[in-house]
Amino acid sequence: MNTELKDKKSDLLLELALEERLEHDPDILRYRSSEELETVHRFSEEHDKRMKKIFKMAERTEKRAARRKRKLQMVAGISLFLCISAVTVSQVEAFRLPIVQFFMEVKERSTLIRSQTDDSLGISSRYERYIPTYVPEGYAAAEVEESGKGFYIRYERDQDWYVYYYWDKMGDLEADAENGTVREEIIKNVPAIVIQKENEVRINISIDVQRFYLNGTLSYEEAKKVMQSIDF
Amino acid sequence: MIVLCDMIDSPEGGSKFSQIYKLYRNTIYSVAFDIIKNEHDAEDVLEETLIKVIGILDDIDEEMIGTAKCKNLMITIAKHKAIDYWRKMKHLPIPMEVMEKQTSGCKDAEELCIEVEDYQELIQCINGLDERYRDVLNLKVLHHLSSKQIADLLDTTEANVNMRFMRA
Repeated sequence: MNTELKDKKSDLLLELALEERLEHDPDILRYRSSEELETVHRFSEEHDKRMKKIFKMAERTEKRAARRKRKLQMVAGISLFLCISAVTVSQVEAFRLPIVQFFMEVKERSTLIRSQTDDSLGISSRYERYIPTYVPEGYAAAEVEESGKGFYIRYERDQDWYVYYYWDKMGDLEADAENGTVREEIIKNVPAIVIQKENEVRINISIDVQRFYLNGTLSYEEAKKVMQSIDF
Repeated sequence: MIVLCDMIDSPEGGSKFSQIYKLYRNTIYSVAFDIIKNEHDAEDVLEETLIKVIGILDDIDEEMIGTAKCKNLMITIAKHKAIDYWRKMKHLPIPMEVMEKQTSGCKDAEELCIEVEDYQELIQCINGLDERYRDVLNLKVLHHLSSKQIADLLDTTEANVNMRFMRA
């Protein structure tokens, strides 16, 4: 470090000395007065012609340098503008919230869309028609299971959930109705048993030996829409 | 954005090169004529000097034009060009660099730099240098040109430039 500093000091000293020396340089003093020199020589026409070519060379060199400089300045300017914009947008809540909301909605919608396709649920085609086509907003399939007798799909949205079951052949289904309300409804011209207990709703539809059952914490209206979307 | 971009032409009017030409053409011509003693040849040397200057135009700051530093640069290039031209005209061989033996008791460069407290003494040392070495020192230290650029300006090799600089 010390050596480096010494070298730098020496270099600076040398540069200053050389520059100061120029004021008394014999050549500088000798060719001092440009006014005197003006009267000495009249340049020939050939020289002027050759100088035109030399000027063109110089112009090309200077334009190249200026173009390079301008490109760098533009790149720097654009980068600076983008950085400032990004910082400004992220600082201002009015801009930040809609952007964050947009990405959240995209995520939710894409999850919703994914859950509505048969392929993504992995259920075989024999049960295709019994999959509900309606899924309440914000819910996404979290669990799917299929057996030889039927399948079930569990949907979730934050803390809420519901499970939809289908069985080809099902005997009597026992449901816990203690401290709950039980009523019969008609859903798509088919009788349905509706049990509501605390924040849970259960809907049971039997058609011959087939069973369609829903159980979850969603509202009765939403649960009814789910059952209505099934192709009985 | 536009404010940030520099115009090619300076506010004073004219590009860098045209400013240099207007300010120094007579100086360069005079330097060449003093050595060659022929008007047409001196004009040739002027043109060749200016072509060399185009090669280092990027390294010449616009603020430097008009200063003694810039004038010294033009005179140095013109002088060397004129001398080479004169030698070629006279068919004289270009002298080879002669290795000088180092005398004993000669101080190490670093020691010399460190010991030189007196600024005026340093200037005197520079004045005492051979013109060839002083020119290379000026071009390297004052004008911050590379060895390659200096070699091109003075029509010599990089090795010669480095050697002259080391000696200087």
